[in-house]
Order: sequence, then structure tokens, then C-alpha cells
Amino acid sequence: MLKSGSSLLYKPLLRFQSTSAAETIILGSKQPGIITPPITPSSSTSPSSQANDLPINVKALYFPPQKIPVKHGHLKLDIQLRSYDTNTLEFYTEFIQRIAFYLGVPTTGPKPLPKRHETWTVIKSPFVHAKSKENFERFTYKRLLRCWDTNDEVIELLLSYISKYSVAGVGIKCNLFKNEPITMKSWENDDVTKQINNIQFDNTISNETNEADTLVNSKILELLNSKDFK
Amino acid sequence: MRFPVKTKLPPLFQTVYIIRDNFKRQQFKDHELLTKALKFMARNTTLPSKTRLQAQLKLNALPNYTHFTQVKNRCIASGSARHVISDFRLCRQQFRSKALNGELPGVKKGVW
Repeated sequence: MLKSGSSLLYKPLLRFQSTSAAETIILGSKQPGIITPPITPSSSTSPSSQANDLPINVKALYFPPQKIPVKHGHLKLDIQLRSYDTNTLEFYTEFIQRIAFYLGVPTTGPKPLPKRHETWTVIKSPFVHAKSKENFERFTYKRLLRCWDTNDEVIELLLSYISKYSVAGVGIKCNLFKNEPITMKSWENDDVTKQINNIQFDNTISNETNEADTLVNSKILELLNSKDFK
Repeated sequence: MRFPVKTKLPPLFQTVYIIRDNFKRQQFKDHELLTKALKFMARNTTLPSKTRLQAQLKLNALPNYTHFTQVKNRCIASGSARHVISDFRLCRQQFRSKALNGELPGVKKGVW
């Protein structure tokens, strides 16, 4: 637990954490279920009087974002963020984490994914002198945040809020996971294997007749029925 | 510039070569369905040989500007066809000047 008496310094070394649910479950067992506020308001002997006057949610900005421990391990949402610049990227990931905390969404991460490195080598001069070249490069940084154990409505709220206050120069990619009950018409009466066979048969038909093929087929028929081909 | 078919002009920077290339792209798009159908007919062994031959003749009679092999990537800022970097659709010279001005987000001078 954090205390305001210790320091208001942000520790950037602790910002990367694994996105697996298992570790956080162990963490959660130490502090079972109860989410404590980041700063205890009773500390009267703080270094600055200004820090005490601030509301608690503003004070929390001086600390790394709080997390709600994962309880059930049902993955609901993957948020992948990409940017050419790490500053805006980290600012935005932190913003998302704070929103998730206040919405009550358990999150893990941010996990830094492998960065993409692109290079270009071009000739310096506009004409001849091909031996003197110049190098250019571009890094694309990625971060992965994962959300667990949440209702679909809350996830949608989170996503809409994120996209409303999105930062320029940061791309978002989301994978939504939804659980649905298995329902089959007249499960007991019909033969299950028969139904599965029917489904596979339907799939093959839909794969064969895509839009481009039907267009070409209709064109072929049109040509075969035209004057030139009779 | 005269074209055998009526054509739309491309947006942004224009030179003769860019307009010509854009015309070929438009024509390829218009003739794509016909070319595919004719190719299928010419190569389908179940069809009568007369129809196949006719399809092949029609295919050969199509003008050159309907072939995709005639299309060449060009720099959108200068119209040059050499050393076009496809990530930015710019030729090397335009790419270098833009990158040094900081107009391409994320592109820096490489040090490795």
C-alpha cells in the first residue's frame, strides 16, 4: 500500500507488469477484495501543505495508477496501443488505467509488446553520387492492456470514454471477448452429428460463393449468351 | 493530353505521367471483370473449342491500357517513377526532404 508520507515520486521502473491473470490473483489473495484509496487522508505531517489541500483523486495522479485485482480470470478486452512516440503512449495508457480503476474494471499490464523497426536508406543527392547515402528509421511502440471480469455494458462505456478522449498520434486496437450460452434447437430429439454436418455443408457453400465470383460468373453467362459467342 | 476514353483527373499534384498512369488504373478497374470472365472462358476445357478461341481473340484484342502490367507506381509529390518508397508513395528525394523537415510522423535520421 502507498503512503503519502513516503514520497510523491513516481517510480517508472515499476510501470511494466505482466498481463497474465494468475499473478494478480495471487496478489489479490494478500489483500482480499478490498480496494483501499491510494493515499491515507489522516497524514498531518506531510512535506508540503499544498499537497494536503488537493482532493484525493488529484493526489492520486502523483502515484502510479491503481489496479483492481483479477478475481475470476475471464478475459473480456484486449487493448493494444501503438505510437511512434513513447511519451504520449505512456500518458495515454496511464489515463486508460485510471479510468478502468474508477469504473471498477480489473486490468493487467501495460505489457510492452515488441516494437516495430522500419528502416529506409536513400541516396543523398538528387542526381548521381550513389555512394553517399542517408539512413532513416521509424519505431512503432506497442502496449497491451487487458481487462477482466466485467459486464459488456461497462466495457462499452470504457471504450467509448477512451475513444472520446483519445490522444493524437496513438492508435487503438481492441479485441472484445463475449461469452454466449450454447443453445441448439431440440437438443435431445435430433442427432447432434447430423446438425454439425449440416453446418459444415452450409459453410462450404458460403465460402465458394463470394461476391467477386458471382460477379464473374454472371459476366461469363452474359458473354456466352451474347451475339459474338453464337 | 488526349485519351481514347473519357477519364477523371487524379487529385493533388498532377503531371502528364501521373494523369496517364491514373488513366490506366481506371481503365484496368473498368475492364477487370471482363478480363477475368474471358480468361476463365479461354482456359475452361469443358467449353467448346470455338468459344474458347473466340474468348482468347477478344482477350488479345483488348487495348494495352487495360492491363495491370502497364501500371507503375509514381511519386505523388513529384511524379517520378524511380525509387518510389511505397510506404509513403514518395520518391527518394521527396522522402528525404520531407523526413528532414519532420513532415513524416515518426521518421528520424537513422543511427545504427
